Amino acid sequence: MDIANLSAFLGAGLAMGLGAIGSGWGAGYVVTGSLNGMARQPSEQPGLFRSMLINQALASNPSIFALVISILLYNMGGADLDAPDSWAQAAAFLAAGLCVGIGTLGSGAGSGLVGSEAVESVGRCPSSQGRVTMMMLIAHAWAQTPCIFSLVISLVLLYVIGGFNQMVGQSNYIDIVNAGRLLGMGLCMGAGAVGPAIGIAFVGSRVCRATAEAPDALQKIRNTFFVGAAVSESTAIYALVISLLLKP
Amino acid sequence: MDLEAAKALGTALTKGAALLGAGICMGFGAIGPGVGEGFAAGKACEGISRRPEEYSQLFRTMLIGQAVSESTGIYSLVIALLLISNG
Repeated sequence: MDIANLSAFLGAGLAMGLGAIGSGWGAGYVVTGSLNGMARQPSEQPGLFRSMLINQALASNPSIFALVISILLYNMGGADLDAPDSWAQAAAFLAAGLCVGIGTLGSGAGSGLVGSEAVESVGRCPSSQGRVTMMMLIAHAWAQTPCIFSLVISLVLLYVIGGFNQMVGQSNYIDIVNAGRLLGMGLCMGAGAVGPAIGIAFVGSRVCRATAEAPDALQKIRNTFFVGAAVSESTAIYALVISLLLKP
Repeated sequence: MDLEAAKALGTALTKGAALLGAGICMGFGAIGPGVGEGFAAGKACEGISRRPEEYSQLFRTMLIGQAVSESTGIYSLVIALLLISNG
């Protein structure tokens, strides 16, 4: 069980280390937009400050997913040293960490883009606050769906597959095939979540600005947002499908 | 290690590597199209906010551009499926 323990600790570190990058950048980037907005409309500062804090909390959300997986992996390491070695189990732990770690990069950074643009738009045009806030919340939720996919795959790897008795006792050769399979499953969903999350968030940030600038065209902007973001999401769904196909 | 065992190990390694390759293929292949399509849609929204009367033209161009951008994601999907089924 040495290999599995080692990779559980390695996965725990990678999950939180990589998972902090996107959210950290995103939460910081929200402030840049807020400062621009406050400089434009000094009278709106308290409202913009509240909005900034909400956006920062939403941008930090993906890193909480990474924290949860990291703690779970940490708890799974250091148990049952007498059980036989299993490369597949080790791969499942490492893949779970990598999946949620890489998968949250895009969503954290993306939520930052949305939040920054939303606060700045309200600063530019305070009367549009209600409309912009609604679009902002939709955009945040949508930009975080890819990282929720990666959280789900990570939990599947941990509990369904990495669970302590399932993989051990297989013959050596099946064990090697399964190790490649599980590592592929984690990397597929992890890396596949980055692009769509950034793409959807970019759409969301432009939508926040457009909603503030052109309230008359709200319906058209919303249509374009939904269709455009859905097309952008499709590659994340391909990655989810391939990832589930790879599940042994 | 005798010949039979070496062969079996080789087959297992090849199969494992093919499955790992399928995952990496679809994972990294999804990054580019996702970002690209998002940029296209974002700029379409910006254009529509400036000139709402050009909505249909902008929307059509956005969809065609996104379809072209999607093609590389579909190549990755096809290769990943080939690797899973034949690897």
